Amino acid sequence: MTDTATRPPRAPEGERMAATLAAQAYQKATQARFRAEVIEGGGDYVIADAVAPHEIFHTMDVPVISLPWYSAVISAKQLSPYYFGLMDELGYHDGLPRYTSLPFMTTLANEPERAPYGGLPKPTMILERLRGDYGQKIGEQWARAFGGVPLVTIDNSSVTELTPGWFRHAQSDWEALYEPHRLDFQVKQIENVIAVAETLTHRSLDPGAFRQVMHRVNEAGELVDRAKRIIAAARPAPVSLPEQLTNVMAATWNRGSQWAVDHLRTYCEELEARVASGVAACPDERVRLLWVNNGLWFNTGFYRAFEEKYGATFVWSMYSNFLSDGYRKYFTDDPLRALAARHISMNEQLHLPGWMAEWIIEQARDYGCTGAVMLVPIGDRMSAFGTKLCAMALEQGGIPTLTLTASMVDARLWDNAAMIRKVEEFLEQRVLK
Amino acid sequence: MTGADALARIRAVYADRLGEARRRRAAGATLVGYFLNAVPVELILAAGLDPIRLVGDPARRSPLTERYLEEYFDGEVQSLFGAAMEGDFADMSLLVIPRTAETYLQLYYFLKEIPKWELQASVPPLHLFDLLQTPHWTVAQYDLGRMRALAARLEEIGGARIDEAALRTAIATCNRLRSLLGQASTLWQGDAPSLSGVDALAVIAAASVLHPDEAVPALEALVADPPPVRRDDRPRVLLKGSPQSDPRVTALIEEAGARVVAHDHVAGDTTYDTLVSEGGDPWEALVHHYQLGIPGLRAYPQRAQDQRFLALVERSRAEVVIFFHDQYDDTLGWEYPDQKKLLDARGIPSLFLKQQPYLDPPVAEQHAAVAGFLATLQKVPA
Ligand code: SF4
Ligand code: SF4
Repeated sequence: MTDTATRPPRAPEGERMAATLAAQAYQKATQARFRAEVIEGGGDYVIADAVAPHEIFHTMDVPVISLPWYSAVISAKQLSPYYFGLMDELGYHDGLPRYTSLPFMTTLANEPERAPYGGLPKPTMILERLRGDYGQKIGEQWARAFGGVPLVTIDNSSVTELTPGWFRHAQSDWEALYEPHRLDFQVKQIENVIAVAETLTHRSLDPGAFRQVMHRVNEAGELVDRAKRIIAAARPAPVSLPEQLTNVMAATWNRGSQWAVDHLRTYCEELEARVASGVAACPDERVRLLWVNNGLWFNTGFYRAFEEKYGATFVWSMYSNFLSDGYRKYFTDDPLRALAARHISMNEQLHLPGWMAEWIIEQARDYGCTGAVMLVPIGDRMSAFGTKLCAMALEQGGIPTLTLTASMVDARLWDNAAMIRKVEEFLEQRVLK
Repeated sequence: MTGADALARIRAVYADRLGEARRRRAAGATLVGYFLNAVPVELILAAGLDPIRLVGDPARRSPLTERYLEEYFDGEVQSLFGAAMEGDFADMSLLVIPRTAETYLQLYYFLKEIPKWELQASVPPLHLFDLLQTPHWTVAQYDLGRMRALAARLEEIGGARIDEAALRTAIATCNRLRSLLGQASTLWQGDAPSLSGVDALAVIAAASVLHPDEAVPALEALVADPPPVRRDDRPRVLLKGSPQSDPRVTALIEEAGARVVAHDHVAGDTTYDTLVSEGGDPWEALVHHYQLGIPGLRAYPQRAQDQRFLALVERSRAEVVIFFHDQYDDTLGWEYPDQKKLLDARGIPSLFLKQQPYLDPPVAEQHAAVAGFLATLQKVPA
């Protein structure tokens, strides 16, 4: 252990950054507004995939419920076992990707007293982006279960060439990266979504307002990049990973709003002040680690479980600066094409062999990480594909990598003690030598 | 050619596609290999090239599969990856992979990436055919572009320029094959069958393995001069679900005491029941067919797929349905509860074999499950 007298102060447990508290308060206020305007007021709202052009609805001031968000709320309220039981009863076998279908089950169950927020009311539309093979299957049945709401789909074209270094081209030089024929198609599909949304909500998408939203997403991305540079350069890191995620995710879900821009600016300023005064997540930081692949949303404490004993701290996850590297799309005159470029290869950048690894290796260098822990979820093979090659590429790039395979569906199956032991052994044998 | 000769030839190429490929390559053909049922062979033929559909082989293993692929890949895709690593597809001048199933799309990316890791791997040149099947105008426009891109690639590897006349001829040829399969299907769907379910799979497959110059006369011979009929009172089964590109499951069901009269999957009877329109613009006709007219994992709305399934149940007069899903199926299982209800409403018993491994399947267990199910049928008084 270091000398207590010279050691910088540890941000006391429970004492969050002001920005973190503000982000949480904003999320609460958003939920209150949803309850008042939609659940009680019967207003329009849209259920949409996480990776979909929410910007359209943000501009039109139509609330969006993102699928994984509602799934997470269900899990956090310990309701997933109940809904999985219902799936068994209805004949949906247990090898199906169940996590993201939890919201659909709350509709089938039709028990407002049990479901979070009394269950989702009938939406104006369900927007599915047809990655994988089954989104359309769930979407159709769900739309029917709501008594017939429009299922609007964005089909998923696939990139034919994985140009190396996507993150160097993705912001300004994206036309060739994502391939013009795909962008043409994506623009048409988004135009269809706009037309349907306008028809159903009796509102119109204001081109000027949309352009501003698109500029503000880029501005938010720049601020996330600034936060990245602060965290990457500071030893020890001024913020824990759970707090990074709270701040960045709040801005991501509310991207395009002035709030997101303002929030990220104060977040950066607070980070700088913390660095200046030497406040650290783990003052005795000796090892910086990457958290690769899906987040451990039900147990963010895990990220900090290795600080006390090893001075080992997670400083990066795939969400830390994806808002900067993946979302930013600069444009001169066509914001819609920039929006098309934003989501067209988002999952591929995070999951395809080649693209996934090269970005993560670059992040390890930027942040000074010397080890990686990668989560491979059971029961969601889309997020598992490519993890072997990614781990091999990281090892080849000089970054020892530990793979943890675990069910993301049922938090009760997470053996915390065993997982901690695995990471400890990994640290002792591979990282701290 | 007699019907018996034709059947012998069909069985032989079904058992050894790669041998057939080697033979044609040695005879000077430029081979274009492809996976699944969604690649427009019409384009390949119109370019004067030689198409051959490739499938997995559960017995073909490569240590490299386990090294690079997650276990969650469809077993057949694991097998195809291993085969590619072992050089089995080296005779192909081009390998076309359609985007009609996620794990095949992933296979494309893995095969693109692998030369960085396995320097000696001889993966043939690859082409992703990014066919989308969402039933929308915008998607049709996109698919047309993808058809043109595939055509350009075929021309690039030495195919002839695809003109409209050649395309029309190729469409007519492939329709002829589809119609012949329709005629031949009475041989396995009829009351007094002359072919087993295992042979049915071979006949259907032969149309996509043999070059049409050979497939057409072989099927004509089979239809004109079929093997002798035999009385068969075993229960009539429709096998539905994951692709059965090899005969193991069909054989197992038939050994357990039933007759597989129809297959509803991408290697089965729904692959030839729709023809490509021969009037109008041939490119548009092809797009329409492959976007909307063929069965596929990603195709929807579900209602249209289910109607097709029920039509096959009726046409084949199936008495029972066996659903058979791959071990890591994440898609067909969403459709199963509704399909079961449709069958229940018609009084058609069904068995659901879910999460079945392609590699090292539990054969004894599967046999027992099927036999047990068939036994319950006999208890029902007629
Ligand atoms: S290692 Fe533990 S005791 Fe040491 S500074 Fe970090 S948190 Fe405090
Ligand atoms: S981490 Fe991957 S699987 Fe999860 S939401 Fe993002 S892209 Fe989708």
